[in-house]
Amino acid sequence: MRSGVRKYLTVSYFGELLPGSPPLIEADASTLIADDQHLIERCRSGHPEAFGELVTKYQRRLVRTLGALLGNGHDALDVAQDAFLQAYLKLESFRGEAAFYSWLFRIAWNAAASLRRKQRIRRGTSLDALREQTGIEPDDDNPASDPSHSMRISEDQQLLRQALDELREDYRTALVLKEIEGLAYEEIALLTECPLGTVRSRIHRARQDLRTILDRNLKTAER
Amino acid sequence: MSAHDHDEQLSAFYDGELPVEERLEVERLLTANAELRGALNIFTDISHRLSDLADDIPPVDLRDTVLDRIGRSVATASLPVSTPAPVSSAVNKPRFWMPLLLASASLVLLVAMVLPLIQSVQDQQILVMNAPESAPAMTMNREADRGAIDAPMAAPATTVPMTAVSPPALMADALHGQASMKEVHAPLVAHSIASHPADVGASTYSDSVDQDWTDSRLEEADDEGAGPSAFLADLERQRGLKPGEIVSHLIESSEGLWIVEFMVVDIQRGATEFEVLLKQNGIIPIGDATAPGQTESGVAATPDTGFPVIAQSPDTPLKAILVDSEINALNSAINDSQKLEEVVNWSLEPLEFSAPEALIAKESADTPNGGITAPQSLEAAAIASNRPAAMSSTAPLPPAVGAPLPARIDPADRSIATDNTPDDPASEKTSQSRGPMEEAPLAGDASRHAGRSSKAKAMADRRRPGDFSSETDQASRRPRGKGSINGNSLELPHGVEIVAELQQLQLAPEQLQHRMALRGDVFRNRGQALLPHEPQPSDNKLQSSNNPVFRIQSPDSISRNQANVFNYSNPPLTLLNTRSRQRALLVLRSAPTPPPPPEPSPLDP
Repeated sequence: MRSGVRKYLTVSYFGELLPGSPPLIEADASTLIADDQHLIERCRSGHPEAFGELVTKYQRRLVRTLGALLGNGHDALDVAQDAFLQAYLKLESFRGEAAFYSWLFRIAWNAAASLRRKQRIRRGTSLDALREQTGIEPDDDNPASDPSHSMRISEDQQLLRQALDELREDYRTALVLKEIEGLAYEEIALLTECPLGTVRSRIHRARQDLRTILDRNLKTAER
Repeated sequence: MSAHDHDEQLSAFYDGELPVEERLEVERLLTANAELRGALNIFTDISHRLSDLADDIPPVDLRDTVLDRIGRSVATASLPVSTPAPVSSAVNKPRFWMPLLLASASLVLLVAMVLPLIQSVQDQQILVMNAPESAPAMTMNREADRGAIDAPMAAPATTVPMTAVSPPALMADALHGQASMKEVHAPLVAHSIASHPADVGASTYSDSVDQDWTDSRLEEADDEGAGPSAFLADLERQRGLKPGEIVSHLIESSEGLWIVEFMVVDIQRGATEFEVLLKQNGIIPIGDATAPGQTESGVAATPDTGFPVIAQSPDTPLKAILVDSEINALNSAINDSQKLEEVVNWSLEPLEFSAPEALIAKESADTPNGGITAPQSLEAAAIASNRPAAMSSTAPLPPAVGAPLPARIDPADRSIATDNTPDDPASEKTSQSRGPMEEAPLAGDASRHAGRSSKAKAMADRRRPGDFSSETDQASRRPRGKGSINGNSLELPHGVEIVAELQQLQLAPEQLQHRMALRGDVFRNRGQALLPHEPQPSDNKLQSSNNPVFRIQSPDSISRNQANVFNYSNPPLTLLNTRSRQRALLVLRSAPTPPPPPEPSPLDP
């Protein structure tokens, strides 16, 4: 299924990278909420295509954050798809007390966390087993590892991406949720289920460590 | 002060998360300290670079793909379901399987639902499965609410060829006006269909499944080493299980493929919170007026709430505590935690004795006792965790709410005595016939029961985990002796105490699905999605999956058939199961042992 999805998404994802990206247009919050609620009501009244509008509206923002969290565009797209589908299937339970995107993001957040856990297990077991059985190093399907891929992004971004991947997971999570998703400390605390002080500390440490790793990797690259 | 000292504060300042006073202080320092300004510039630089990195993604267009999957999911859900197994006369309600205790002992896994995966062949529905062919049982782990059964979190890359085209593709066409069929992706990870081409069918939830049949399938799978027990144990070893997490396990049987879902429960947290609830509602510990930490019987009190401990296992975090309450107060305490009054109708049998202690657990004359006994002097008990006070939940205590559900009394319900007296050879033999999950008796029980009757002490000493006598034995030995609770004596297994008995649990399907929807689940009855009720004010609180869960079991068999689950979040205490009219005990188990299935009750619908 994953291969099928990737194949389907090849055209849109592996296409030529566009320089920069259009900024997210931040509409008035009340307008956003009212628009979302209207679309949700249409979905509930038997017009699932209205959900497509919500997908179009939030897909980029969601994939953007998931990509930073997961460090992998493929996974980000997969998780985003799954999150949208789950959101649709659970739309009846959405009460509108929070913004739709907040609710959607929480679904995606849980899905991303679950995926990372499974990847840790799979990475630890399947790769070892494969090596033992075949003596061959398994292919690394992370696009960041593809030499040609690296040529398509700036060296600076590549260093930053690598540094981000090297961060401790809880630090990276807190930093991404703050810097990319723009959540407040309290929202991050709620999402990650840890105290506010811990969030503050993790973000601070993430910045420190990121800086240290960047400096180290830059020196390594310059040699 | 150097930049290093202010680093974290500066980081919070950059994020706009400092209180006003601190922010003003930092601003003052920045004007005077170049080092600090340099540090702030670093934060700004990192922030901009991260933002640029995140924005550096190609155009994303998920709309068509998501709508395709929605179309397939909706079409699949609406397909008629045929039952692959004999359907009993039992109510068509979701089943809950027995909890499995993992080696960690701090978590209990509950089977939330057993779902038939493969339905009628005649439907000719396609279910493209991707799975390693060598794996008869695949696992899915979904931490997110399990509303979307068609949303795999991870699937192996093996693709199995389709055997037919399903209506979902037609739905997709209708959505997009496209003539060509799109590839139907596997909504679920499962066994390869190559070996079961005739069994491929639509996947959907269905509760029209005979519980005994389901239980036997699970037992078979366990016997073959591919069942939930082994799977969960492996999962716990590999990565640990998180409370509130829902784990799915696929089981293949001759009748088809089944998804068994487990919800991980944090007993410790649940026990502590329930203890807090009792105390908050004025349910005082026995001997509260005596010296702090001590009761009249000399039993040590728990450090956090003062409830005296009557039994404590050296191996598990569970312990039994005593509470002193009138039955109405207990009813009220549990009712007060109910935010949704329409969810559950339950009652506690009134107590007819004048002793200060209140009975919590009883069982009907119709359903044999599953062997729950209590020391003679124990009138009421609750389970609490052994966690120190510092580790107690930091969530605010549930506020008292008004208009609790009235406790309806069923006058036809009589308490039954299961007098497992120490000198009863039958009970002794039965209690020793427990399964492999049985554990050694509590090490410190003897001292903890100093001051109690010798009979109670002997009973406590004999406790075994999952030590439920067979219901037949129990039913046949039910004298109503003096000193027992309404003539009942209940033998409590190791680490398990009765907290409350809920009778007449009648949760209509629409109520259940409402609760499930609040948890973010899409519940289906006979394949049809059930719609939730009107919104309730506490909905969002239930969307968190990390709520501790109390498991309520019927005392007659403590079987998976009659298990009811309280989703004890803070504040609402929510009943999830719809098993009706069964007597249930609110228990927290340390080492449950599946009892034999109960005798069918004539009062069963």
